[in-house]
Amino acid sequence: MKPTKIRKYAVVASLALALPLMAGAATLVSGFSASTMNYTGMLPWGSHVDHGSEWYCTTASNGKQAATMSGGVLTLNSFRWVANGYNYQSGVVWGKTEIPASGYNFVTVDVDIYTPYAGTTGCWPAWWLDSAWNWPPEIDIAEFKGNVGGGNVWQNAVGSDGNWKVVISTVNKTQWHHYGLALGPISGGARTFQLFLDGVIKNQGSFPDAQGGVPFWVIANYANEGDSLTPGPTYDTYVQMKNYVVATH
Amino acid sequence: MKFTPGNLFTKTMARLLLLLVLALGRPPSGWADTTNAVASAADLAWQALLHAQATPPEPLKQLPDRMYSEQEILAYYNLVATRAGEVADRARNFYTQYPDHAQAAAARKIYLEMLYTSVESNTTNRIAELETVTRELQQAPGLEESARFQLSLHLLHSAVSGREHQNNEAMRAELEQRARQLARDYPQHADGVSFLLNLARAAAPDKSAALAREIPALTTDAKIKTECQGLLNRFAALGQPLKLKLPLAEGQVLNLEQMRGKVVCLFFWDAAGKFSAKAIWAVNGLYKTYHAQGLEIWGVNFDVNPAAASPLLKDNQVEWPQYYDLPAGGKIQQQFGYAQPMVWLVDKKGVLRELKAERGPEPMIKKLLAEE
Repeated sequence: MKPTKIRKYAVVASLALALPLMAGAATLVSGFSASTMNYTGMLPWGSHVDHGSEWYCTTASNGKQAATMSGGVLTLNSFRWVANGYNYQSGVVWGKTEIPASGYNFVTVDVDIYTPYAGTTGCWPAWWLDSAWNWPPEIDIAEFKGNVGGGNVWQNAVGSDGNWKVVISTVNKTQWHHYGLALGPISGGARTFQLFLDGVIKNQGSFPDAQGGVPFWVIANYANEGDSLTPGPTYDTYVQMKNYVVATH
Repeated sequence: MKFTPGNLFTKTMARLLLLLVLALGRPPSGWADTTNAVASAADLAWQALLHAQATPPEPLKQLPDRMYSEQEILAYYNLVATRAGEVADRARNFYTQYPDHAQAAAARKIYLEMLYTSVESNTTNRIAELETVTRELQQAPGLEESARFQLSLHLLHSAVSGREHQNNEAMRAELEQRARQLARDYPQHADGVSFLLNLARAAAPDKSAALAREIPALTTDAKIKTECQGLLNRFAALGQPLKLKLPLAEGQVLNLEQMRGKVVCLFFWDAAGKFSAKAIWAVNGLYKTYHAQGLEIWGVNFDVNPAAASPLLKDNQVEWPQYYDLPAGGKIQQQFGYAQPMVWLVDKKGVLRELKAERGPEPMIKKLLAEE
């Protein structure tokens, strides 16, 4: 389904950052570190490539790390590297804890992201959930696809029927922004989701899960070109994330 | 500014007038008998309009202890739609009452923008009004065809978004009707036909086939025509014995007729497909789980250059065979079309049983493996 775009007639600023957890909430994951994230130079399903022009790795050809986690801050790099049909060497990490499909009233995934290259053609970093069993369902909590669609951040969900629900917003790329997801458990073959930007709801609805309760991987990756169009930058770029929390309620 | 009694009087009156305007929604008409008063009332009305535009309903904030209910979300979008509609009305009142005001043109823009927002947020009873306004705008002398198209496209997006708040069926019906009109009105733009094709891909077989028969008459795009014919051929093949011979680069030929007693999974893919990397991993998982029980998997690849597929196959250590259709002449793509990774299942008797197994393949595979 072609994405439809919901436009708001005024930007209501909100600086709500990481939410305080209520009593009764259980923290599944907190923070970016080697104990919470896998860093193998591959996507969770063991692939160095996806459908952009990036090649995922750990140590790039320039000797630098494609991803670093220091002081609770994750930095994903994208190094210009033209070889073997690819144009970049990029970083990817994914959570060691999968998000289960049930056992809670709802689960939240929160993170702060700084994207100094948001809106740049060819830059396509993303923070998203992907079915650990099949393809899709998928929830893109924050996907930066250049300036495609008239904004610089997409928040999407797609169910096993292949229908997308998309909302495009514009963020100030010089500032950190908070991205949140509230996700309901599998119920009647579907999942309910609500996506937030700086504490304000942006996209919501439900999507079918034909397999009846897929767990999700949490993925941070830096893709290039592809959906964010070409040509991408001829220089190195990066994105940073912090305050990562998964909690069940 | 220097403080003077005159200024104080003017400021006091202006505040009173602004309060009146905010309360009434428009300047009192009885004040239109002097030029200065009209100018002042109009200016205040303009300020009141800007104020209304800048104060949307309080947005739904992320809650620490619960998700919003469906009713709460619907109520929120209803409120946004109503308030945006009120601002649109106020803007229309302004430029109607003060057509010569310096901000009249700006008020017209606000009216249109607010009307879009109102429709998109749930006010489907104003779609007809938005259509009328769109038609009026499109009749402006000298307006380029691309601008007329963008107005029609915007109308489509707004109307479809509004229907989305009703339910998926209403949304799809709105999209189908407007996409068809868009394709007819602007045949040189692919958008209308692309919307219809997306609907066809996702629809149930009867609806999908009906759209696939209709779409070719709306476009000259050979690729779209091929995919439509492919959709029709897929439905025709479903439930029938599938005859397929796929010559491999190594000289071997994959022949479905020689696979009696086996369940065959046909995996159609290309390296650039949005879900391809993930799909290969998932399909390979099926192979690892069910191959020993009688499942065979054949890859049918649509890359122009087979080398593009190599990294994905290597990463996943794929052991099942790949047929590269485009270097071999593209006969499978011509026959069945291809848009994104898809999984077909052929039973032990050679009958094509499932066209969309990618949506949840395991139950169907288990069922077919259990059949005699």
